[in-house]
Amino acid sequence: MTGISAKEPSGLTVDQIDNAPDNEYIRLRKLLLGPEYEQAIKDYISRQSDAERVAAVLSQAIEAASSRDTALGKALAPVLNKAIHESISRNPSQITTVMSPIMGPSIRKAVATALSDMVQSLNKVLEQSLSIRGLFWRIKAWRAGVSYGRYVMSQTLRFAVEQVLLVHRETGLLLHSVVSETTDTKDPELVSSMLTAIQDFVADSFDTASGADLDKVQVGDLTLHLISGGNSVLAFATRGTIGPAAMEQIIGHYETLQQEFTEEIAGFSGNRDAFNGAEDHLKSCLLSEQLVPKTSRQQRPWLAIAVLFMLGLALVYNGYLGTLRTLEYERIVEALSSQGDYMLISHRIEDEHITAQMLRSVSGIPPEQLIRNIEPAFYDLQLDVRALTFGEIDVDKLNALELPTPAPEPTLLEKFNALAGLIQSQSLYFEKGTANLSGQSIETFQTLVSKLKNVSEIAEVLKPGQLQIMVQGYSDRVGSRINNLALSKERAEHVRDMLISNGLSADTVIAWGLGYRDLGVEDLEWQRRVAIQVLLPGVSINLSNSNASKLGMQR
Amino acid sequence: MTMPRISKKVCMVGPFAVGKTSLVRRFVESIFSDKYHTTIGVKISKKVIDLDEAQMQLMLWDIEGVDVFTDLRPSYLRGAAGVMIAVDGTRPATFKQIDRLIELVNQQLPDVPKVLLVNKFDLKSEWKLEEQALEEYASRGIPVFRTSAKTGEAVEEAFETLAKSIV
Repeated sequence: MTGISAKEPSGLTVDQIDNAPDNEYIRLRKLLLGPEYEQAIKDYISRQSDAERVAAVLSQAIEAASSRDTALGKALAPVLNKAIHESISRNPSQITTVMSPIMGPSIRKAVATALSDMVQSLNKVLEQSLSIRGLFWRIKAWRAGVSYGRYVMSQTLRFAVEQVLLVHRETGLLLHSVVSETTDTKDPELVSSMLTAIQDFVADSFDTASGADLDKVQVGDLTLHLISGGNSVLAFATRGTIGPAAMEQIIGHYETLQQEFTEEIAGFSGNRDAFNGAEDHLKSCLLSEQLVPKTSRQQRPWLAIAVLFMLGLALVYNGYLGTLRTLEYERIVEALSSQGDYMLISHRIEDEHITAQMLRSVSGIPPEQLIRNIEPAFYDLQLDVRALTFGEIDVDKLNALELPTPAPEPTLLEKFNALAGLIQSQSLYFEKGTANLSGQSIETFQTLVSKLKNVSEIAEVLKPGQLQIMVQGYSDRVGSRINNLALSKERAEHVRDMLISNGLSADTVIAWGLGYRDLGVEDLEWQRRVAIQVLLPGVSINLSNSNASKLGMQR
Repeated sequence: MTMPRISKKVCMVGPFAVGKTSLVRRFVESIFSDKYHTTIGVKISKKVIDLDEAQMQLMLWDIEGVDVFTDLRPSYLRGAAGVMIAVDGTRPATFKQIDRLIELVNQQLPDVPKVLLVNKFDLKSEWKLEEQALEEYASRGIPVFRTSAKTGEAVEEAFETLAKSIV
């Protein structure tokens, strides 16, 4: 290394030592050791470069400087900032790789915290909204013309800092501002300038001490605090009474901010971008303190809880009883339907009463006995029984019913027989799941009406007042038994009503539903039908088509 | 890339009832009203204007008019980057206050750009103005604009000129 300026431990160069006029110790050493010593020193120093010598002591030097004061940190901060900025600019992926293991968990934690806060907040809002107090607050908020959330906040917070503005003292221009989430604010830039104007106005208008500034403005429950420091002003709006501890916290944040942004504030020329970094400090000033909720036991709504519990019990018990009743009802209907000597025509249920219309054969047990056999538990069962005098009731056998026939007048009897045969050979068909006649059956119905009228006239002559027109409703096999029974009854009653409205006597027409009967026909359309039978005691009806041909009738 | 935005404080001063508030309102909101409302203290508005390489947000301090009872409050001028002095072209008495206002402004803000607005140009037939006097201000580096808050004439131009001179 050329031009080396080797130094002794004393800090002097060799040449300086040589020329030192009054350093006797050095002169003595020179006399004793001679020029070899000087050469040895030079050789030793030249073996190490400056960098190596600095490297050897650098860590200890940094450690010592750091422990002494913060000057080294302050000196290195701008250099490190530039270095980091440069490094990220050159290779952004590098910082991403390094940061992602740290940022991932942090982001997850932040999201989890935010969600937790949101749930708690929602819970609180629901509690407030659904309570009497919440309703009361809602009315108050409406009357005061403020939002409900804001009113709730005013009632539940001891104080809250709603908005913080950092203002350039000289120009009144806004440097930065933050606002709490629940606050509706006006333009902070205008507020900032106006605040400065007010400060100037007060300072000009009143004999204030030199340098004294306005430090508080109060409007209703809103207080605007102003803290002046150097060439900036921190203004923050609070609701409620802010305590001294919180005030100290805010002042502390402001002082830190001032330290960090001293140069930026002093050299402010209108560009606010330099103050984006002040966001965190200002947000730290958005403090709030909640009123301690009353947690005494008297506050718990025991009465409401008890009422709700009883209501719940009542609902469960009611549901249980309802299920029992339904099962009981189905059992009764099933029992009535399965009685051999009885035929269930219809039934209806009103409150706790079941009324059933039934046809009973002469050999059937008495209705009272039938009720006792069924043993209804929840219902009062009433049977409307009509005894039939023409034998066993068996629908399947009814068509083939043969009763003793007294000798009728041959012409009328033949006519009656033929007409009855035709009527019984024709069925009315229905649309699926309804009591509406299918299109073709509407026409069939009209021909049946005229035939039934003829039969009625003949029967009046043969056996006055004894004709019975039995309208039997059926359903297809699809669906539950009870539903099918109800639907078949509805179809039968519909046809009965139509017959009566077309001029047939209501006393002669009986309708009942038989549900689905397996008659060996798989056609579902055929199964959905109403059949009409004409019965006249002592008259046997022959279903052969020859009777029709006697009258020249076609189906 | 978004243009950088800088904020600047601009003060509007002048005698009472010359149309300062109307000029600001015309510039900021592009509207004019015949109704006169006197300004008490100061009224602050803002408007962003596009310059060549940046946006400038002007915080406009419309300061109450001066008269024999009310003088200009110097503290309102503090920190302003530009000043507009407005007078009424139909009222010669307002011209006489121009020099005093310039002096007051210069005491507080010796180096800031200034423009002179001679307002109510829509009533030009009633103007009692010595054009030569206006030229003198222009020669002293104070641009002069004959404005009309009612029609909007020269209003934008005056504000933009001041903004450019601030930059």
